Amino acid sequence: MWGYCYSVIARNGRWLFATLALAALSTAALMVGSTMPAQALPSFARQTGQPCGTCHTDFPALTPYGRRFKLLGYTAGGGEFKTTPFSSESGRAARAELDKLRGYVKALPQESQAEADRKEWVPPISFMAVEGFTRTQGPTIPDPTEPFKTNDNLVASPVSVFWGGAITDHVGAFAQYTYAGATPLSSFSGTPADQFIHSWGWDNTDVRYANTASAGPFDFVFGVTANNNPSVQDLWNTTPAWGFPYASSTLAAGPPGTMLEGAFAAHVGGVGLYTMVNDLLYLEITGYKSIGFHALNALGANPFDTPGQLGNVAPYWRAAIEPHWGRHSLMVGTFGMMFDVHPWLDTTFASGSTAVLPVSDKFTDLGFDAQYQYQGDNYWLTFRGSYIREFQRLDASFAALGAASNPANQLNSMKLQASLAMGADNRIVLTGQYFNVWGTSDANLFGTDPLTGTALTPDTNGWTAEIAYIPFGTSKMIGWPWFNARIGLQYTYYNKFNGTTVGAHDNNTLFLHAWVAM
Amino acid sequence: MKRIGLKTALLAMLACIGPAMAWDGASVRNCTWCHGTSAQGYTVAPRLAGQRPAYLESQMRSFRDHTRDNPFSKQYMWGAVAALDPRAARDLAAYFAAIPPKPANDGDANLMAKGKAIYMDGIPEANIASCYACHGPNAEGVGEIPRVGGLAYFYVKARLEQWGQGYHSGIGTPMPIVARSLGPNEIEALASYLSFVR
Repeated sequence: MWGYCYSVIARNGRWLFATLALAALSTAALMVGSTMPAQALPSFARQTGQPCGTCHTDFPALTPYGRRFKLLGYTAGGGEFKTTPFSSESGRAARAELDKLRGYVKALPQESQAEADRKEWVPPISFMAVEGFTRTQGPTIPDPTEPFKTNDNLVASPVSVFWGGAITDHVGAFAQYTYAGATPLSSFSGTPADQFIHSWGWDNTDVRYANTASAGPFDFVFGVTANNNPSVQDLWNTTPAWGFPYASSTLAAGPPGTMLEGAFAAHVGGVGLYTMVNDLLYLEITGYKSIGFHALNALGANPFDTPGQLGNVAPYWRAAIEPHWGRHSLMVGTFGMMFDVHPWLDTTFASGSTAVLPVSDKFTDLGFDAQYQYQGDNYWLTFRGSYIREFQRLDASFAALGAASNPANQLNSMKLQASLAMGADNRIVLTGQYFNVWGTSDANLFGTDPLTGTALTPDTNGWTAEIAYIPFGTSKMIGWPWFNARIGLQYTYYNKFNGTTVGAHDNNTLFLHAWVAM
Repeated sequence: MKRIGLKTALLAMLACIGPAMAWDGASVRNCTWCHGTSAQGYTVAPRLAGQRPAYLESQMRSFRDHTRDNPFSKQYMWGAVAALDPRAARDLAAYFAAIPPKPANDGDANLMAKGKAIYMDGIPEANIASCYACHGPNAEGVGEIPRVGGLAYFYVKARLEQWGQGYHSGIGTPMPIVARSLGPNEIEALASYLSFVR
């Protein structure tokens, strides 16, 4: 198989090598920042024979077919390459038996084994790199800024390798391995927040088993997901793991978030069951557990990046109804999760302790979301909205640690977005999003107003606007058909930041980025 | 890590029993991915269930030969059938033809009577032919003439409009000429009526 890969690479010649070398060199030459979710997988395009635009309005945002591809466990094929390295003859024989029962005796797709074997298999590997320039209205990084400048920094973040595609006829995977390096508080900057100095680490991972069945008037797609980030398995870009902005500065400060908005990304393992009934109603329940301290280090994740360890299995739920007609699709849904978080005893690691407190903070996140998507002849129009309300019972932070001033707080996070992706190839994408985070004032958690002395809130709100260019939507690049890019200019404007309007504008951020996938 | 190992083992076990539970083999799923779990149609992708097998086969040939050239065919189907061999296409066509079709029921019910009148009798004075003559009394089609009864409103409307706009279908189909005489109101009525036909 590798021989075949080599021949493909050789056919596509020096250009490919030049591009790969350039990408590798440019990324290695610069410091590499932390992990923003950022995916549209060239290996999926290779597997399906479809261009990026079949599944993505503007990657990684999904079209209805992109959602179904994910729902079916990343296993749909149809391209010129074999979907999996394994023979599926036994699967066909089994299906033939069942089809006989269903009365499809004469109606079986009987692709011959020789025909199936005619296709080559190529490992479903993809690469991605995001390079970004950050300019903030005030200083981006307080002293000491090394190895960065106070402002106007160019950083490559992140660089990832993926395994994305079918493993068997019914099992598929999306697994990301990311090089995460410099942030203002990392080992590279000399003020390490990551005491364990990780560079490569696992990132968004979702392994699925999916199948279909029918019973009376009902059709089911059902499956099992094993993943490492609550909502990474979700089909809509309204939930946190795949929400806008898809790429953002790793240097500039962003708005605070609820637990569900990434606090446990890549630090938990979850197994869940899901189903889609009649291509209309989606239901899922997944349970997450914290991964142990040493296992996290082995996976390349800093354990202290999370607020603590989950005491029990944390349940995550999702229900969504998605009516669709012609060019229109609508989704209204709810999702949520309950966290029982035992804070770390000593995040400085000065004592060498990996223990957590016996008491825990309890967080219940309740989310509601909606999406409307319209497929025009040459454009996609999408409206998205999400709202998460978090109920916090801070038994550990308030009573044991004194880190919070209140025994119970609330935090709300709302996003309202409109996106227009225009054109087939040479796609221009305009996205605007209003975000608003608000919650209970708490002097210990958020500090006090220097003028009035009153306790501050986490309240942060503003706008993000982005214009992006994507060269390939419906066709493929000559020479290396799985290349694509997203060149984006993004501006985030803050009305209020961490509870105050004073100096909020200093956080306004201009982020110019080039995101390359191949 | 031990727990991850257990999960991997669980998934591997599921993968082994998976094929025994399947009725949607990999090649079928490559179609139902977009056309809906039981091929009853999904968003802009039309229903395949219950369609005439000869028609399905001829359309796959047209996509392959690039003679069916409306925008969505070009965008999705040209690539989808590029690596499909004729034997697999024939088997898939037979498979989908055997699935009982469900009507989309998504047209304007108020236009049903008008649509039915055009379907059955045409409008001779406007040079609009009767659809019934070829597609049959219940719009079920025959041979390479497709079943149009119960197809989604959006799909029938778009196809009728596209023929008028000069897009092509397979070789030798009379539809571009037939559809040219249809005005927007007639197309609305026909697409609405057909979406309710069982």
